[in-house]
Amino acid sequence: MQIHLTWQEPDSDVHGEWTGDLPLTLGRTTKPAIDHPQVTREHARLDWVDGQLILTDLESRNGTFVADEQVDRAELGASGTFRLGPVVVEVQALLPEPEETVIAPEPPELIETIAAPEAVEEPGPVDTSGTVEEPDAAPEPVEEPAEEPAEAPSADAGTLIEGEMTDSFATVEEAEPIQAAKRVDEPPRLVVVWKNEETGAEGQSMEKVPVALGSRDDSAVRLADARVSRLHATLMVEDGQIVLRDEQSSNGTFIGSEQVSVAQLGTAGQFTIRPFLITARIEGVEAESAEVREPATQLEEEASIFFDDERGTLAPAPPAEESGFPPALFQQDMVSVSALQATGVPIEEKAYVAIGGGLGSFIWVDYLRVYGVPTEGICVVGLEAKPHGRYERLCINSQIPYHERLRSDSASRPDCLWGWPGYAVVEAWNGITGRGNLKDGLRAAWKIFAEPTFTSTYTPVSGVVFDSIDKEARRIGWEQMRQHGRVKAIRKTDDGRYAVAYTVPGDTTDQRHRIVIARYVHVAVGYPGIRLLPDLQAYRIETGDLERVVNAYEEHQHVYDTLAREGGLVLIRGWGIVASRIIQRLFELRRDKGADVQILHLTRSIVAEGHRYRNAQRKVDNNWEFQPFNWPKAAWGGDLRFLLEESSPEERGRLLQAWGGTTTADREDWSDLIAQGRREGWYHIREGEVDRVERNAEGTLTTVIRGKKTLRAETRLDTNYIIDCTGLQSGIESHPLLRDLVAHHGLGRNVQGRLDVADDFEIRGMRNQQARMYASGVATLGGPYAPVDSFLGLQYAAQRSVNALVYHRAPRLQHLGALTSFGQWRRWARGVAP
Amino acid sequence: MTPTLSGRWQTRLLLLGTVGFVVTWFFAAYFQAITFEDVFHVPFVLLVYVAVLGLGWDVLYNVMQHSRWDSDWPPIYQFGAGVAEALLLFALIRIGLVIGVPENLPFWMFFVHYGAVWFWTFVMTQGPLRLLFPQWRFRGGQFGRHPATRE
Ligand SMILES: Cc1cc2nc3c(=O)[nH]c(=O)nc-3n(C[C@H](O)[C@H](O)[C@H](O)COP(=O)(O)OP(=O)(O)OC[C@H]3O[C@@H](n4cnc5c(N)ncnc54)[C@H](O)[C@@H]3O)c2cc1C
Repeated sequence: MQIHLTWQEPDSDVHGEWTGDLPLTLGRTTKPAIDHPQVTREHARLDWVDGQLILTDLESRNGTFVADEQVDRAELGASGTFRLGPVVVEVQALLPEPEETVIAPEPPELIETIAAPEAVEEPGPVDTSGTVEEPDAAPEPVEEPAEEPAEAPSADAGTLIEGEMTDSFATVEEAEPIQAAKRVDEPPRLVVVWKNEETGAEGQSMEKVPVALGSRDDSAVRLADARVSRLHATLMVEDGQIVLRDEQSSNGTFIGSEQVSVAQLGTAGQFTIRPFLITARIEGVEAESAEVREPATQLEEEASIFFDDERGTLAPAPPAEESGFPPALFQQDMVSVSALQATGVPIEEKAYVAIGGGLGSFIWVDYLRVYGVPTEGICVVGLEAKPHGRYERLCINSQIPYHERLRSDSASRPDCLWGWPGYAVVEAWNGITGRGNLKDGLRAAWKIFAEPTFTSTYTPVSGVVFDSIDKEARRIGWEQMRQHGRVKAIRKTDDGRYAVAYTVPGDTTDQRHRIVIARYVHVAVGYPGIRLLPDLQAYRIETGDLERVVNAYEEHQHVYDTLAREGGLVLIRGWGIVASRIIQRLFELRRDKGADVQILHLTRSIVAEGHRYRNAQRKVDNNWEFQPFNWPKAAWGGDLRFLLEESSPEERGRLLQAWGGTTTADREDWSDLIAQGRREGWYHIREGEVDRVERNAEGTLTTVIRGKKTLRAETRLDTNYIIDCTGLQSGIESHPLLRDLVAHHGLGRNVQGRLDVADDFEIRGMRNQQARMYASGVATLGGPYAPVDSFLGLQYAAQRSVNALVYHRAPRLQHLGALTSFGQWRRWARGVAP
Repeated sequence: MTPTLSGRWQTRLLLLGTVGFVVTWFFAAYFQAITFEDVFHVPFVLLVYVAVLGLGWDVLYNVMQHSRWDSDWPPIYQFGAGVAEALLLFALIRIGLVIGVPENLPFWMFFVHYGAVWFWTFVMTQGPLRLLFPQWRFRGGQFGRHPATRE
């Protein structure tokens, strides 16, 4: 069987065609060669079986796609369009009767209807000259949605390919198989200059249009900052004008202070992708004098759901402000203690105050206690009865019940500052001595010896972690130190301390507003809230439907209850550890309840390669990127920790970008599950950019996506539920207390816009004579230490700050020398108070 | 573990000088007692060789470690490193390059002594060291406190 092939590389004009016989192997080193870096040497094979073209993926690195769905094998009929990694390929079997109508390929889809007519069905212009003309119009990037396919078919790349195809049809009948031809034309080039407004870092490059801007390594203009989306925006040239298009980025593209989705920049123009100010001009056009703009200050969008700890739930709005408290005195730069006393608000004085009362506070207070501070010297102000209260709720909601394993190291013990014996050692010991499960015990022992090369990494069971924390809380007298309250504001006092104003929820007496004054304060208030993706948030606001569109971190048990009874199709957004849990949970519904649950997993773009750093690269499988923990291990206490600490802010930004990102832990059972899901057809990966989410006639959800590469038309995905697994709100702007702290004291920000802390976690700008204020947890992310939001990272932060307080001769603190340390550990092991 | 190069050196020297020394003393006395020969010094010489050659090995391990994504040194690598070091050292003994150790040192003697030293230092790095030095694991295996931040 003879076939005709055409292919088109993404974001460029490189394309080629070939005519010849099947079977055919396609790849970088085959003939014809599709020489694109993301195409594997032997990527896929085409065969002719029973009158059909059969496409088989040859375990390629970046996958083979039909209708944007990754396939191992697909039947294409007599012709079809598919993608090798990013390269779009059209194939046409040259059947004996060429006048036979071309059969449009049926994409092997579950549930989608294609809104716009498929390109292949449209007749293209036939050029009888026998040569292929380049289109006049500037080519558009393949991501470009075909918004008006009917009006402007000639500007549509799909139609162009088709036009060429029809065209070569005319000549192919008599011709010998022609060699693969690569032709590159001369699209206009853009000069792009960018500057990081926060760090001052600058760059410039000259690029062929379309120019992709984003944080991806392979972006034409790479903007390395966590706030920049992987593909953030594109620049094109249409009719001699630069057109800027925001690619549904998370944090938006701005001209001045106005957010834009598409904008004309003329022949030169300026725009902002925070924190970068970018100037683009068509090559040859004189650069206009760039007016200097104020750097963006509002760095993070607001959270869409807030924690309402008073009721232990999540609320759609932040807790209401009460007037009259904190007192008006708090407007001043420095608060006088005598004036405070005159207000009549109950005042308490302590040496040490921990604000938050979550894990970060608990770990800091644990250090203080072990270093010698008695309970009377410490006050903890927080909203949860237990240190793991909020953390536990987030775990349960995101489908980590008490018997499931966390993503945490054996030696990361929030209840033990020495981290020994680790959870794995205890598990192994209990197994061997008959107190626990022998098999689990032996597996734990093997894992901590052979991980991560010969087995996946050990992680502890969540219930065990909570129990250990409870035990330690009793040992150090947590209850005696704890004060229920929501902290409203923190101020420096005129006698070299801090005044912490808080309200006791549920208290209706005149004692409900209180102040505690302390010389040493630690702030660890965790995540400000939960963030829904903007299109999902828009859907919820428009329809008021909180049932079908949920965030993985909010309570959403009803989804599983209904699915267990009725089955259904679930759309998952997000690729982190939480998405992996949710998928596992859905799989369990299939396995244990026999429910017909199908999963559609949406990605904005297929992850081509794992992050690289030095000579190492992260593993990618089925679009999931793997890493045992959320940072490389050495970021906790190895060379990477030192490196980050010694780096300048802008280097820190780059390093965090290289080491972080969305990853999940590589557990064998889990990878098997994904492979099984793909084989059995209940798990599908789908690529596309969401345009909007609507409620459809059946009362279920329709997600309208724009195909990324093959299908330029809109595609509608009908699903019963959407679970947003993209994350928690981590910007400090969304936290009222931190926002007030930064604004009132004019504090600086780190490279990621969060609290600027020194290497010992002291908040810069809050020092007040002898008084010191420290922070830990996610509010300090972007500073000297990467894994601040982890058990072990919180322990490191506590160690640094308590260590600094020892140097500072803070009261009752004693340096933990080798012998005292060992003595304290023995007390810990025996369960005796420190 | 995620040691740095200086952390490796410090940890190696400290552990060989303490735990290694005690274990070596025990074997020195034992070998002396069963062979009736003057071999008391032999295990000590070997200990010194392990320490000195190890400083070079550590440089190699450090390079290898940096090509790992996690930039870590898992226990099984520690084990492999122990085996590699043993093979080299024993080969050096056989070709007579280890001054003060007889070329015909029986393999079992080398094995039990070296194995015991390796085992106990390994165990110490897996946790007990942290009980004495809580900062050690955050400082890439270096001893001492975190420096004071001067701001
Ligand atoms: C689902 C999930 C799983 C995780 N799993 C792991 C893991 O396996 N291993 C690991 O190392 N890390 C893990 N982490 C990361 C990290 O260890 C936890 O997020 C940890 O709880 C962070 O501690 P924290 O003190 O910063 O915040 P939290 O523990 O959330 O504590 C903050 C506390 O501050 C209180 N608060 C907030 N505002 C105020 C106010 N104005 N006044 C008074 N109190 C206030 C809150 O009520 C809350 O109790 C996980 C995180 C999540 C979300």
